[in-house]
Amino acid sequence: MNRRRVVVTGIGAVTPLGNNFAQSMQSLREAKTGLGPITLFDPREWPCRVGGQIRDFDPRPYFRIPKAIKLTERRTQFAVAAAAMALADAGLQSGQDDEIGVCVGTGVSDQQPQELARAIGLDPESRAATDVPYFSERILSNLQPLWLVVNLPNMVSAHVAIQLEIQGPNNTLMTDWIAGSQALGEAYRAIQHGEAQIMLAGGADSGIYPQAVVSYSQAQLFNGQKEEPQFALGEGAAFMALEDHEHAVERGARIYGELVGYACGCVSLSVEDSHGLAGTIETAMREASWKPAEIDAICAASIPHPSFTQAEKTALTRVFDGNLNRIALFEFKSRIGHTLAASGPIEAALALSCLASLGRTARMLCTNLGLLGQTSALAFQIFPDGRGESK
Amino acid sequence: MYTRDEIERRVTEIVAQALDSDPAKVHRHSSLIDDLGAESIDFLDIRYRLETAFQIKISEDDLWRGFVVGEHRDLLSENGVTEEGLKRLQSEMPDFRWERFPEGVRRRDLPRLITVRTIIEYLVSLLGTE
Repeated sequence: MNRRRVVVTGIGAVTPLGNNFAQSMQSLREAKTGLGPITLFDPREWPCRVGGQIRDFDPRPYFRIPKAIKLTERRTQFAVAAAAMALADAGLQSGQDDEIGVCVGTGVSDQQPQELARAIGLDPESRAATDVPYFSERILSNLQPLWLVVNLPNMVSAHVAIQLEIQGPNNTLMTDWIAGSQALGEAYRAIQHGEAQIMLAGGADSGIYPQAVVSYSQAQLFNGQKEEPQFALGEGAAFMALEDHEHAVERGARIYGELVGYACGCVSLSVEDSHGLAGTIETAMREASWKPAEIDAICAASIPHPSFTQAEKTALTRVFDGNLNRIALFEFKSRIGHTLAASGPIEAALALSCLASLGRTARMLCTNLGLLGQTSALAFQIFPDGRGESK
Repeated sequence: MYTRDEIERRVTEIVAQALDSDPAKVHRHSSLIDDLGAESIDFLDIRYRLETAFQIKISEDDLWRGFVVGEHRDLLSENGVTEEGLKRLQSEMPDFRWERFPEGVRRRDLPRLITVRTIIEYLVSLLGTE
């Protein structure tokens, strides 16, 4: 089957390093950290007091219909902003036609338990938490009616499409930490197969809320000190405008690079069984027709916890062997925390931009790992001159 | 017990907040749908905010039918507002943009008649005033 070539023509992001992509890259250049004291809730009693919290972010400029902001929570606002910036960066305007689609990777929201608890707390008979018919009859009407609509994960891609007037294919991935990477991969496939000419693809998530800290604490991921954590949580969004190569060339778009390979899977994370991640990497490289010696850089998940670093190290050694000594390894989580479903696209975008300043073509592999062993690999060919040509 | 002024002030505030409108643009005769951009989900939101602010319950029936026609139920035929009914509404709401309905007000147009005044009058009839 004749697959279309897919290129990256726009990047937009809201990250702990900056409320737009240019600011984020500038912070990187200045060796700033995006980690800081958590202020969205009082973390005094929690195992981690520091995180990649986004500050001073105003969603209003990015919402064509500001009334919709009441229907959104943080990650949705980051998503709309990042997607809008990616669209603008690609030199495209919203509302053009149905040839532009959206594909987002996201996670669960905090579900606003205080709202649910408040409604249940109004129950004079204390039955609501366990008696479902009673709850629906007597308590449901006390719940803020927008509660569900705000918290549904697929609302992220819906709001992006509504605010940017994008009517093409619309998809939401919920595969935990690799969701954003998968969103890039699925959008890539959609364009390859001619389902859309342009896809705004990326991830949006927020880990700065009590339930996330509790969950990861129970999973024993916080293994450092409260003020200087090894594992920290972050938040943000990054989108790439992925586009049919011919379409991009025809309209004279600036081309950052080309997506040439993608694979995903799920493996056991035990060190002995890490051939699964290696397998995912090899599948993506096979699609790209790349040999291990031809890779310039790897943006690995680099999750600061022994189980993940071991699995990744073993897989990368298995695939690249001696080549690892000369391959540049990107690591961003020490500066922005784990941005969960947004981590794949945020880190891929930062790495891509770093490599684009090298002045020559570069081959980058982005690998990712999920909490329960989900894997993904994306192969990017990066062009230095913006015209999509190799040097 | 609230005064009419208090009810009017709170309703205007709630509608402005729910619809992200400039309060200066929220007039008594403003149609929530045509002038302030309200969608069906906004009516649920406004109802909830009114219930919370005034400590009352507003039923489904009241939300869609009572809000608009209330005591004017006799002004409705199967197709919509009768001619006589339209004349009566026009005299009661002279500042409303009646030119939006050149062919009369059909049943499906009824939600567009919901104005800030509609909500105020509904609450006044429900709560009474000081």
